[in-house]
Amino acid sequence: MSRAFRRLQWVALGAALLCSGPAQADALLEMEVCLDHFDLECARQVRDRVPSWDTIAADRAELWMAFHEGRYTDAVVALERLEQAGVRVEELERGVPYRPTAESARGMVEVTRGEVAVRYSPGLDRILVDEALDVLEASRTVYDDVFGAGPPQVIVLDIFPTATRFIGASGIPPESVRTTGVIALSKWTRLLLTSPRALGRGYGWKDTVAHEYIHLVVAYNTRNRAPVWLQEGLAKHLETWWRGDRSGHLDAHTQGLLAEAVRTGKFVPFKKFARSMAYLDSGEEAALAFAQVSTMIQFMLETTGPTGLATLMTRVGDGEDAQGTVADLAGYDDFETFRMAWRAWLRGLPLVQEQLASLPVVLDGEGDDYEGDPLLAERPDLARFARLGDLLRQRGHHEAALIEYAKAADPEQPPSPLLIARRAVCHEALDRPEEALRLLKLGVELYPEFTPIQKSLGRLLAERGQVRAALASLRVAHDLNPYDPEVQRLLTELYTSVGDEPAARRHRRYGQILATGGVEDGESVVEPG
Amino acid sequence: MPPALSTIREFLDGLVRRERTLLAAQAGAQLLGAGCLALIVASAWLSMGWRPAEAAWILGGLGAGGAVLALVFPLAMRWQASGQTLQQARRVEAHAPELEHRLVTVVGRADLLAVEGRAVLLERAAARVQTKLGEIAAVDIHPSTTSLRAWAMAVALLLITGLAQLVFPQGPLQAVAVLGGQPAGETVGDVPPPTEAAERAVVGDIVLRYVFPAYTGIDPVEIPNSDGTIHAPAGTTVQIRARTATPFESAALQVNDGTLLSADLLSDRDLYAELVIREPGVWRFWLMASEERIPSKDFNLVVEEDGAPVVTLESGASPAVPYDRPVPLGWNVRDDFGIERVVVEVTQGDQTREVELRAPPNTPRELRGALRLTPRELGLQPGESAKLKVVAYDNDLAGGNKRGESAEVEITSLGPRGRGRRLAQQTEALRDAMIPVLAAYLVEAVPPAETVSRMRAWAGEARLRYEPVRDLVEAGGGLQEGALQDDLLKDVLESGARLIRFAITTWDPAAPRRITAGDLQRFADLHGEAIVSLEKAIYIFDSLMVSAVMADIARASEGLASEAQELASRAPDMEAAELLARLDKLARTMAELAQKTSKLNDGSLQEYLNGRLDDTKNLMDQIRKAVSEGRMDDAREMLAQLAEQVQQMAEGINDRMAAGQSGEDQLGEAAQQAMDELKQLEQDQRALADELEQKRQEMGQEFSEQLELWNQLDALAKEGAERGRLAVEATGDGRGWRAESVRRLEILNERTGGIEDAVRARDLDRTGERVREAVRPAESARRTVLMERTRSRMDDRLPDGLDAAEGHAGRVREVLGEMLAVLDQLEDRQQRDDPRMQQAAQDMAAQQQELQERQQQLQKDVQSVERALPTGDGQATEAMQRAGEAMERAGGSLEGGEAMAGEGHQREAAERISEARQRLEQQMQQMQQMQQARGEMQGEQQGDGNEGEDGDAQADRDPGSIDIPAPEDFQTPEEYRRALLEGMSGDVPEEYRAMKQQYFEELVRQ
Repeated sequence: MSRAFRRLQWVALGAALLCSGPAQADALLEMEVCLDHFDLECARQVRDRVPSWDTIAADRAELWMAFHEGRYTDAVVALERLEQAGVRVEELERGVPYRPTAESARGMVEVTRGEVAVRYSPGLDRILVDEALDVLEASRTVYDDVFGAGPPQVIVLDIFPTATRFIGASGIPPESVRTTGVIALSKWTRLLLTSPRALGRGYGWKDTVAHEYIHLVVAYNTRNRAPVWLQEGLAKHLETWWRGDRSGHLDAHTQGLLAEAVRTGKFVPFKKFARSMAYLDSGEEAALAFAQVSTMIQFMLETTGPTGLATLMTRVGDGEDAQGTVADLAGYDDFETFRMAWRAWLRGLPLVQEQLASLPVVLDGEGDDYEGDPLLAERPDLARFARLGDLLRQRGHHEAALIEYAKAADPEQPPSPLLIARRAVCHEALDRPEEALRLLKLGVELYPEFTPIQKSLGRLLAERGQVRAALASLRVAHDLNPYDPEVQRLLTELYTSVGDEPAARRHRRYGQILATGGVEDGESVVEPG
Repeated sequence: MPPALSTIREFLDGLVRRERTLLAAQAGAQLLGAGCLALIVASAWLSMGWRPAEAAWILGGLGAGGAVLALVFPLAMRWQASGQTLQQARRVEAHAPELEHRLVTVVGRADLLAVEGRAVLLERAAARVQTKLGEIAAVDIHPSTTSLRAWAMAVALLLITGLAQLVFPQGPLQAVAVLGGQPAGETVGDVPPPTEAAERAVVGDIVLRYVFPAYTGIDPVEIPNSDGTIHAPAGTTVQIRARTATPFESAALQVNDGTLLSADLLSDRDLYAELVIREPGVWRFWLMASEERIPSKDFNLVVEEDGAPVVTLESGASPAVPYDRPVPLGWNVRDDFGIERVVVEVTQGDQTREVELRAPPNTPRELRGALRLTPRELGLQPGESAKLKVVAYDNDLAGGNKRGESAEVEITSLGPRGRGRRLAQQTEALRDAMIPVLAAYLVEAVPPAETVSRMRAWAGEARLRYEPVRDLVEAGGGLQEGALQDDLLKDVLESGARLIRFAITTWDPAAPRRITAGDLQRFADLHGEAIVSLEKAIYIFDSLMVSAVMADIARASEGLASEAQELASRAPDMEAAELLARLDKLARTMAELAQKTSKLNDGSLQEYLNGRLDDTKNLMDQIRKAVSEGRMDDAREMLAQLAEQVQQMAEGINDRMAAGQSGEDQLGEAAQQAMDELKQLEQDQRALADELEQKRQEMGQEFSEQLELWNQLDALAKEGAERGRLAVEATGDGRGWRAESVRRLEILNERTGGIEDAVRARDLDRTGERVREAVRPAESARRTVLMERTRSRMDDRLPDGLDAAEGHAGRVREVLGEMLAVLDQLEDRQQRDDPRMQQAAQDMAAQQQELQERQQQLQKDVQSVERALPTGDGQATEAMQRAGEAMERAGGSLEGGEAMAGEGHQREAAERISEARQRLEQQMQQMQQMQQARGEMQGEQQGDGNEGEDGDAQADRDPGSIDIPAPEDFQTPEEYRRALLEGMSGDVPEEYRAMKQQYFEELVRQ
């Protein structure tokens, strides 16, 4: 081979490189845009165009895809290859928790059904799997329909067994998580959820799954152009639709917050949660923000009906201003007019005026019962009386315990759900079921997500033969915290008594899972690739 | 015979005479010396009170023996030899060797030489010898030194004998008299034993003077007009003075049937004698006149026994004592005459050792103290047991040191782990014992009964409620003195006792009285206090216990994590059987952890921990299953997962504890900041009040007049309050009084009590209001009391205290009238207040407003801190509320230009702020004590886990039991006093002041 020919070869190669470099860079940029739009299918197509000989580009693409598809070990492998190739890690990671996610997901197993997949930590969280798949499937059906479309890929839900692992995988600073009580996320085209087990008394995890899925669908349909307030408003208002509840009922706490805001005019400014709800100052502020935006959506839907949602997605996705679009769809000239009308509408709502506190989020056993109570967590002086009441109650001094519980209450503060539950137990022990029932019903009304009240109410109603009502309460208790064997036993018995054998069988199985620690066959460890 | 020879013989004869004279003189001196010696010994014997017969033997034996020896040694040995001239010649030759044996030859061979015709030789030799002898003096051959020495000795003994006569109660002359048959020297057999029938001489005016042995440290005591009974310890010299009814010629003293002792008889009737107490019995005088010997009556002689010291333990030592803390054992020793030393005997097995506690230099008759020694100082290792006994020795020199012992106490030395465990157990048991007491109080009515008998029954039942708590306190030997738990327990027991006492004395069937509204209110208050103290104690005990459990869980979970980690790392090299065995061990550790978790409150935390343990257990089941199915790789992989899971749990628990600690630190900082701000606010408020006062002083006469009027009001308000109180007290227990009268007096008392505050605050309006409010009740009370005199009664007897009540109530009415008059003057002055002063006051209102705003913010901070403090009781917030009210009033007064009232309110506000700060400070101190107690309960975690560890690292001395040096540890009493004073004057942090007081009280008790 002549020297001239060799030179020609080098020139040709250089030219090829010069031409292909920008092309690959464009591909990666395009892929990034696809991922930003929550369009995994689009990202996959772009990835396929990245030439395999450009290992760095290929590894970059693999890193992103693997991470978004939930193949965390593959993502870490790609990351390491890039590091070995001299790519600066900081540049790559950019706050994305590749390694912490892989670490947090270690040992988790996956169960797939159709277009949805749930991954969980083996053990008691097995109890969540079937219902998580149900929720996801229902969500896909309902929300894909109302929003016009849904992401084509398999939707992955990661259920992290502890808040620490969730925090690791979320990339959110732990203090933000603990301040605002964020326990689930829709990010990187996946859904991330903290197991209800990480919270002492559980939480409404099913609606939370649906809530996060709505984020995913909205981001997908609007090419991620929906602002946070719209995202949260839609998610909050529609989070119960998956289970057929389209009433838009606001819980007592939300109503109280809104009533107070209406009275004082102190709403949370939109700009404050522009980036994320996770950065709000407190759980209370976050709750008000959610209430504001969800009622705005409700207000809009009263005009447009559900069909307006698809239009909203399209228009926002096309780049129209979200505030203007919402106002327009609701029939107002601008958002300010819409907002004033919304306020007027709010004033007309029969809102509960009572100021209730939001339930504090206590993660990973970081606090005792009192720290999980909205009143007692803020008032350690009152928590002392509650503790004395508990000590008396545990030793059978129920009458005396009631006196201490009464001391623990502050008439000027929101009522304590824990004290309601404890007082009900005492009344029950003192053979005053009517008083116990009255208290529990009040508790359910004020704090429907406070599991002990739901459970006690269900049990008491069951004992009094009010099976349907008991089932309703116990069902809620199960939805909040399925790890209580007594709840599973009662549900099994009650479903059996009403002849609903499939439901009885399901809860019997849950009881079995709890009894055996969730050891079940057919689980497979998540494979790295 | 040559003439020289005759001269020689004369010389030698002279020597014979001299030597014999000297020997005789020596023998005489020795004889005298021996006699004196015998007399001295005999008189000493008699003086000691021993039998005269033995003295006679001594005197005879020693005298005779001495005489024989005195004669034998100089005379018998040398007398005969001294008479031989040849022997004398030899001595001269020995003295003058230059004679060259000529003298012996001349003296010994003179006859022989003469016979053999050698007379010339003899004559010449004799001449030479004679010449030489002329140079020798007899004194050179026989010096008188020995003889003189013997005489010197004899004279010395003679002098000693004379001295003995003066010093000894029974001198040599008496000794000789005893031998010679004289009265003083009569033998026992010579004295007729007194009989009942015998005539007795009358002896009276007896004065006894006891001179006690030096070791007793007791000063001499004189007993005039004694009945003659002698009562003293052995060794005491008793000097007896008495007087006979009739004159006698001589007298003697006899103890029991012993030798007669000399007694002086002065002026025929005044007796003086001495005796040394040896044995119990009787004593008497023998009185002699004209051959007649008459005994006095027998007087008793009682020997007071010097008993062994009595040792008692003041507090029972707890059976288990931390090895580096003093054994809480107080002791008390008493002895008749003095304590030489006190020791503690430590018996372990068959070995006993002694540790000295005290050896006071002045042998006091009573000593008390605390053991002050730790088990470690007593030689005990953690975990070891020993029997302790406090032993004291007295200072009895006569009968030897006697020993007294305390009861035996068995203790066990606890290491940090054991101490923490014991403290946690005690705390839990006490908490559980107090809960039923609280429950009973909470559910009962107040008052619990309406009749006297039922209230009495209630009081008995209420007392029984505390029995389990008291039993625990006693069984455990009490908690550490000065510790928070101890204080809380005392508060619980004392508040209960106050309530029960009040119930018993108020509802007393023996002294029935009308129960007033005040009684019921007082009962309700005491009932409430009993509940509050129980609530506080239970809550704090519970918090401490839960903290200890959490710490225990954290430690156990860390152990579990490291165990799991080790198992996971070694798993690749393990066989299936070994793996299963290790899993079983891990399961046991988990079971222990689960057991500890069960002690937590049955809440979410417990559920969380149990859930994590369940997860771990399930994973272990899966591992076992994998191992049994031969899936070793799966098993190992799951082991890694297990290790991580357990590690996460351990970290979670530790994070929670760290978060708790961090929260407490933040709370401490917030509290400190609040206290600093309170101090600043108080200073600023005082400064503003001072400024106002300054201005008022500057603005002249009007101020001093007002001040004078306010001073008058001060005095009147005080008198009114005092009279009101006395009027109620005068009704006593209310017997004989109409209930209405007592009630009106109580109302009056209540009203007058409230006036003082208003006056102190210089609040003209409020004072006027209070005074006017009190006028009517005062008038009403006065009238009803007056009616008590006239109303009809069953027994026509006026109630006790009526006069006093009438007087006080009447005076209260007068006082109120005087106050109204002064108030009028003040109001008048107020209206005429200097416009400049009014303006100045108004100018100051803005500053006061600013202070009030600061107070409002600070009140929120104080409330927030107080609520968060586990020891908070709301008192600081209450004080701040009162401060705010006073500031409000101050602001109002200033705005109205009322400088005097404004200043009063300002000062009141400053006082309340100061009170708030003090309350907060107190609560913080209690929290620190709580943290300290928690640290002790967690000693198990702080130690290295070895029960037998050396505790130096843990030797954080209990501040409540400081090692107090005994006085004898100081070189001089002055040093000790100086150290004491220095210590007392030294400053200590607030929380240690009580301890300091306790320390010096204990010192003073030494």
